[in-house]
Amino acid sequence: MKTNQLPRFAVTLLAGLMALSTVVAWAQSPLEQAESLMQAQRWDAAHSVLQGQMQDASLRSNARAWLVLGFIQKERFKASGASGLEAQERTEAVNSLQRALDLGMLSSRDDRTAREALDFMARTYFREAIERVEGFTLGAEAEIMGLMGRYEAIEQALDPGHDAKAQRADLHRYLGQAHARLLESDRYAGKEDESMLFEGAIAHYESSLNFAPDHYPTLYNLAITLYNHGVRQLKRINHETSMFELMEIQDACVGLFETALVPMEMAHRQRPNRLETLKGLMTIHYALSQPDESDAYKRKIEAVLQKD
Amino acid sequence: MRGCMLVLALVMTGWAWGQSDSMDDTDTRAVTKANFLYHFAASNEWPEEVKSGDFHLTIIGNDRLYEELVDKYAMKMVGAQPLHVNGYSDVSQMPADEFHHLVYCDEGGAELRNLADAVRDTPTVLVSDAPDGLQQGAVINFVALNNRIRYEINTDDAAKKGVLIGIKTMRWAIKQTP
Repeated sequence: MKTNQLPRFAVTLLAGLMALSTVVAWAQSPLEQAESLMQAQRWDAAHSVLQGQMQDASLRSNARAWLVLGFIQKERFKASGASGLEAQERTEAVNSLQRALDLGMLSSRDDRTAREALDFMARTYFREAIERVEGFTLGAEAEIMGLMGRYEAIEQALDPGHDAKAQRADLHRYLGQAHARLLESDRYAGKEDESMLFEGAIAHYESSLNFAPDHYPTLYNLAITLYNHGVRQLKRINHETSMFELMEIQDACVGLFETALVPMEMAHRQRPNRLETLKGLMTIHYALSQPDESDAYKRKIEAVLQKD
Repeated sequence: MRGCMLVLALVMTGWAWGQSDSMDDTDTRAVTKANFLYHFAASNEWPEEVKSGDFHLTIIGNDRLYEELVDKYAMKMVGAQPLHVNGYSDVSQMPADEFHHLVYCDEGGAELRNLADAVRDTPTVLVSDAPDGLQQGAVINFVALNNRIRYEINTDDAAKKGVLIGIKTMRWAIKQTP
């Protein structure tokens, strides 16, 4: 009989402890429960505990509760692999962290944690924008600009003095290049989308120049995009092209070549001995039937090459 | 710093953002001239004695123009004649005993003059791109007008050769001599 008493006691003790822990858990506030679950990295459980309670008056104005919730939502976003402007977990995390900061009652340590978490979230928008520029497809720019806008808005909120001009200039330039690269592929040749791509490339380069007016690569790439678009029209001339069509195409091309000359000359003024710009000016003047000007740049190229 | 981050991110993705776009190296003037030459060939009325066999369009001194014509226009029909494109680096290489309907000479000056003399009594229409092309004996001469390629015609010389310049060709000429 005595041999059975010990296990019975152990079972009773265990049951008692479990009941006690449940009572203790019940005794914890939702915030404390969520923090405990957060420590155990049980993000979904932590979220379930806290999310539903945030409308409670005591939590609604509790900056730390918003920080904990934002942190949990951040981790849930990371685990979800969600992307895009509509990724709910990300939006929720950003809103919660911003609210935690807006309430202005965080300890300095919590304030730093909230800012770091928010900066992390901002950079997820930024990284995603860049990934989408890299794999750019027609129609993707609204999403890219939206992602970049969110990134900038958060950075601006974290640091009101944040100057995004240089980044904006770069982003527009990269988008200009992305459009121009699609234009160079045969995929859109002669289709309606081709003119959309061309106009998109030019608009992005011009936007980039609004932020950084004298940026050499942007000026050069703008000139090249204009020139190449003219050449693209010319290359479609064949034995079926009538004389009238030839004249029309020539007019359109000359217009593009004349327009290309302006940014190419601006780029050249910045780097007078740069070979690609000298070649660009030589070629554009040649295309504009201006042999004397073209030859002058050809001689400059020869002079630069001799010097090297 | 943030700007650096953008560049860094792009470098890490492996995309060549820093690179400049490359300029299309198509010879734009050759493309336009080739189409003009094809129209000159197709819209003129040639004497009966040269309206059989291949239509010979010959380019002297302009490889890019020759390549453009071969690429897009060779074997296309000029009336009932398939277009044959010939290319020579200079006048001396052109066989003197062969008939060429339309000859484009990139060189001006004495070389053009000599060529004009050589084909004077034949229905060959000589085309040039020289400031004094018509004075040197060409029937049609390319000129630049408002940054565009246009041409002028010596209709008298064409008539003497028995070649009737087509209406479409005449319409777009900037000058007809006399």
